[in-house]
Amino acid sequence: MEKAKEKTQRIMAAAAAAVLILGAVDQARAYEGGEVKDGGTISGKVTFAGAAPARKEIQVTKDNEVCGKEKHLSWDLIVGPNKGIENVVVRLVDIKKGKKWSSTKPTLDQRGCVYTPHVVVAPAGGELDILNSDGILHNIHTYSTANPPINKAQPKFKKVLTEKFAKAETFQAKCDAHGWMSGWIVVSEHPYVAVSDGKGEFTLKDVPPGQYKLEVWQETLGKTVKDVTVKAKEETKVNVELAKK
Amino acid sequence: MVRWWARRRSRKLAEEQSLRIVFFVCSMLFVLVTGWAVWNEEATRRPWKEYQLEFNRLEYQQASQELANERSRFASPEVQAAFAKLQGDLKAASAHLAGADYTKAQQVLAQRQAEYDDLNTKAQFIKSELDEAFYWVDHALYEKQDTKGFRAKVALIEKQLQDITPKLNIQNARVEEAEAELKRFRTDVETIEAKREELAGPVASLERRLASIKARSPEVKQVVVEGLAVNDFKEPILTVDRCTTCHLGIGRPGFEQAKQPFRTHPHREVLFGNHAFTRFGCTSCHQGQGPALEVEAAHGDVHHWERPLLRGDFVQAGCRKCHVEEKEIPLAPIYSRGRQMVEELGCFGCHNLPGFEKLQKVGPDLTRIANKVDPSWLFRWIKDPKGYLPKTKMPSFGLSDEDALSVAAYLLSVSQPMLELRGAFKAATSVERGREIVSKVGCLGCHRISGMDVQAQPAAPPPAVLSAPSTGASQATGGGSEKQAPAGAEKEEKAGPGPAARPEKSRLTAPPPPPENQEFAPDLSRIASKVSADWLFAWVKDPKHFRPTTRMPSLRLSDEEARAVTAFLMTLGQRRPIPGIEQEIKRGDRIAAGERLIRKRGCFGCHDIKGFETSERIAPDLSNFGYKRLLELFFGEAVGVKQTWEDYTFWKLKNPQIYATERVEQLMPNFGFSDEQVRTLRVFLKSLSTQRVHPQFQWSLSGEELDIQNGRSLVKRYNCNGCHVIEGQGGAIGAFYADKAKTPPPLEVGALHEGEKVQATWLYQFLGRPTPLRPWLDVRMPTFGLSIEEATALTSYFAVMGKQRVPYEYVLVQEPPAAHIKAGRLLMAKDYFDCFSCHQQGDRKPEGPPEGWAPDLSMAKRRLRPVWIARWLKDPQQVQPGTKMPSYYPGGPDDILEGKEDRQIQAITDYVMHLGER
Repeated sequence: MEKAKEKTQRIMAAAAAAVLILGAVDQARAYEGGEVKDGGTISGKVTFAGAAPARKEIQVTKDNEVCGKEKHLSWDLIVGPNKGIENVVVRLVDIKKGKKWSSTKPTLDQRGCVYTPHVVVAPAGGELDILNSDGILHNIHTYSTANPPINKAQPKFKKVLTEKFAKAETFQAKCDAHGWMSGWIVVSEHPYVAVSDGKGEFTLKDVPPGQYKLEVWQETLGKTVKDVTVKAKEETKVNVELAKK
Repeated sequence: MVRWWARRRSRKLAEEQSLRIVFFVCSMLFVLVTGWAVWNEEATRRPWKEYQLEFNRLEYQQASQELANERSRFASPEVQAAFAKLQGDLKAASAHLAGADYTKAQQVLAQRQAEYDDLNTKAQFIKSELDEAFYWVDHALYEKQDTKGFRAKVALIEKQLQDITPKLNIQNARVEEAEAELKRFRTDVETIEAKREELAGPVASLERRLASIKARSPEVKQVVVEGLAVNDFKEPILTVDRCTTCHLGIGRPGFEQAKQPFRTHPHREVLFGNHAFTRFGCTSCHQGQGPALEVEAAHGDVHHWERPLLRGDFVQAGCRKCHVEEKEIPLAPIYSRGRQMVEELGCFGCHNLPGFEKLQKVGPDLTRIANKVDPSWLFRWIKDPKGYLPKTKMPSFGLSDEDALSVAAYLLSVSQPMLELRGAFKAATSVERGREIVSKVGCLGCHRISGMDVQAQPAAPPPAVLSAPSTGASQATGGGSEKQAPAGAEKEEKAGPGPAARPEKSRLTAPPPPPENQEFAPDLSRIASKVSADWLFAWVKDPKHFRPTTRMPSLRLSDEEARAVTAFLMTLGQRRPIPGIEQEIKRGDRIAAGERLIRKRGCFGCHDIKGFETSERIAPDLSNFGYKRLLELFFGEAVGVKQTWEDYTFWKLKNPQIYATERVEQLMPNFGFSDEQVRTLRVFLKSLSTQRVHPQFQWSLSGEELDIQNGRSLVKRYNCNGCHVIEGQGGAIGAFYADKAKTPPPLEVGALHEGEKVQATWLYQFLGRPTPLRPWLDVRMPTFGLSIEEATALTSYFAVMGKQRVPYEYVLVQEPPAAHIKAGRLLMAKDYFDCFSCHQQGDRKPEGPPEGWAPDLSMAKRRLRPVWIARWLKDPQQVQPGTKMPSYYPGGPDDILEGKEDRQIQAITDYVMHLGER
């Protein structure tokens, strides 16, 4: 009798807690995707301050017939012509409402023992396809903290591995079989995330007018935050210079 | 007055005198005294009555509160609705019971019963007739007449009976059916009533409880403890504890927040569960005066009561009475730590301490000291050990320069020369290489060297392991330096442990966390100012050669490596020779004075010193120290110290010299304890008593508990924790490696159990003679030179921790099916799991640098338990979070063993266990 009462109380408490937590999560998440009319555009270029460092050649020590077909140069800091930095993640912080995620599923390919693209953006709670085009054993080992880290083998017979990451976070992926392999996965609540191209240029389209904080992050150069004001149907230019710390 | 009486007497004869007044006064007095006696007995001598009344009020309040809650719950719309529905149902069911259907069913039953009875009577008559017919048959036989006619009659009647029996059975079934029908009506009502009771019951039972509380009358409550205590002739005796007369909530839940004396016992479930209250009583653990019923007397705070209540942390001292063997008592963390301190500090070197007799001396062997150290260093060390190593165990003896030099002179003069050492060390190739070896090979698991700093943050302990915060004594640190007034220092400690100081429940399973900032082995930052290069070279090469009992293991350094290590270490610090010391230490009078000093101060209690091999302990026996009476304690001229056992002991440990007088020397050295350390030790000292309990109450550890205790002792002794994470603790060496893959493997954490993973035989052999398993590691598993007993004890420890039974071992009972071996080979091959992309297989090494390699699978059949292999394959991350081994399941191939994952895992296990055979 007493026990039954306790049990019901406990269940009630747990339910209440769950409701609260879910509510809190909802509040924190609270990104609403929909139609954006008269959106503005943020575009710009990320450049490197100082002399561009040379990319080091990567020593392929294993599975040379697959991994060594092409020469690999290190990916951690790629400075292109006119000092544009490739693979810089540019994203809006704290945007609550905006456009919907595009329906195409992001993919991370392992090709020639290189993660392609080097930085991949995946929606929080959405799926990411991890491909193995090499036909040799890779394993995808993530170093995430908010999401539980995974370390899954992707042998020859497993061409696609589909993963879900629930929480927004940027983390590294490595392959323990091929120590040099390194990639980054950006999990985001909202689709306003861009990765700079070979010239260091990026574009964020259909941004609802307003004032935002723009976060610029590069794996070796760290994070910088800029204020941006977006006006309807106008393009806002933001140029950022990153330097070695 | 007397004269008046005499006059009176003389005036009248005694017979004529009236004694009315006297009689009246006397009887009045008598009445008053009787009245007073009753009042006094009832009102002033029973203070416990007040407590009982108060407790009853408290319990009444609580019960009323519960009742109110229960009533409001009962009054809530949902419950009311449910109740109303039940009432409705009940009414309907009752109405049903009173309705026509029920009456009809009753009538049916009555009718069927009547029919059955009729039929039954008929059958009975037929049976009687049959009996009669049989009689006539028998009679005819007896009379030797013809039986034919009678037999025909029997047959006829039997036929009748046979005809009627089935009818009777059918009728009986019909009656039962009618009865069941009736019962169905009633059970409806019964179940509804039971449900109604469930809703309304708590209120009723609480109401009953309230009534019973009100009806209570005060009474003395007592428990008679039989045979726990023994008298001086070791005979068990009865003792009486009446503590629960006032401590009424002690054994009941729900009074955790109540004020004393009504509070529930902390850890009630564990403590009362293991120590039945009726068997142990209160005073056997807590002390105090059991039969007394007044507050002060009961707590033993009265003159001549030798065992007053153990308050605060001191209550932990009570455990030792029965738990003598146990080193770690989960709910007595301070006692356990104190015991550990005594073992580590070697108090038993000078004092007789029961239970510590067989331990090895804690200090190094000094019989060959001259070859090891610089005389100037030795002098400075003896004078002030903490000047060289701030965290050393060696206490300060407060010797003068003269005395310190004399002791050094004696030690050097009796030292046995080691000629083979001379010139053993030849200049090394490179100091840098030595630095590299020292930083990588594992020295930093135990030693610290300034300049060799942490490379990475030590990994946070995984959440699976509960690491209890060090509480208890640690809360009251700081304050009370030696200079401060002794009484003041004691004050804050009297505050006693608050609720926060209670040990966490996790202590029941995990060992207490090691005290922070403790150093296992000497800091080597200034080693060159101390030792000679020749000695150091020989020592790092083979420490056991010098002292077979040393804890320093061999790292199997080659001559070249040992030379490099020595060369590097000899760059740390510089000798500071004292001019003229060489002549001083050779003076004969000095040597003789040194010998006298060593004898007096008992240096041989901790060190092996030539000439003192048979010397006895110099300090008092502590086997009954917890119960020394004040008159046995020498306070000297320390007027600032309060005259209590607690204060005496506090200052004796903190600064023994406080009790020295002109005539009485204090020989005990100063250990430089912090206040917290003193309090911890004091709890242990309080437990030292010669009083024993009856043997049947002596707790002895079970085989497994003993295995764990012995294992933990060895883990501590050899500092396995310096490199490995064991029971969720340790592995600090990991912080010196930037690459996590280069750190020694964890052994016992979360779901990872070494004893579950490896075969006991392999572990035993590995402990005795380690062979490299992971070629990518620079750090080496040292050779500890464990004795057979030690290696066995460690193996058993890991087996017990891994829930394995020690003597049983994996034996291949059945050959695995050939299909499994084939499938296993296929699964592990390049087209599928490609295991040998990383794993070594004997001499076949994987591609790439050794950092990317994984353990040699050809060893698995000797090393791993197959059950563990299967578990590991299923989910490596669950066993060892963060491992480089990826998980293959779920997601095995569909074209092998019909895609059944369990069979695939079994196939791989079978194949691995046969690797290299087929």
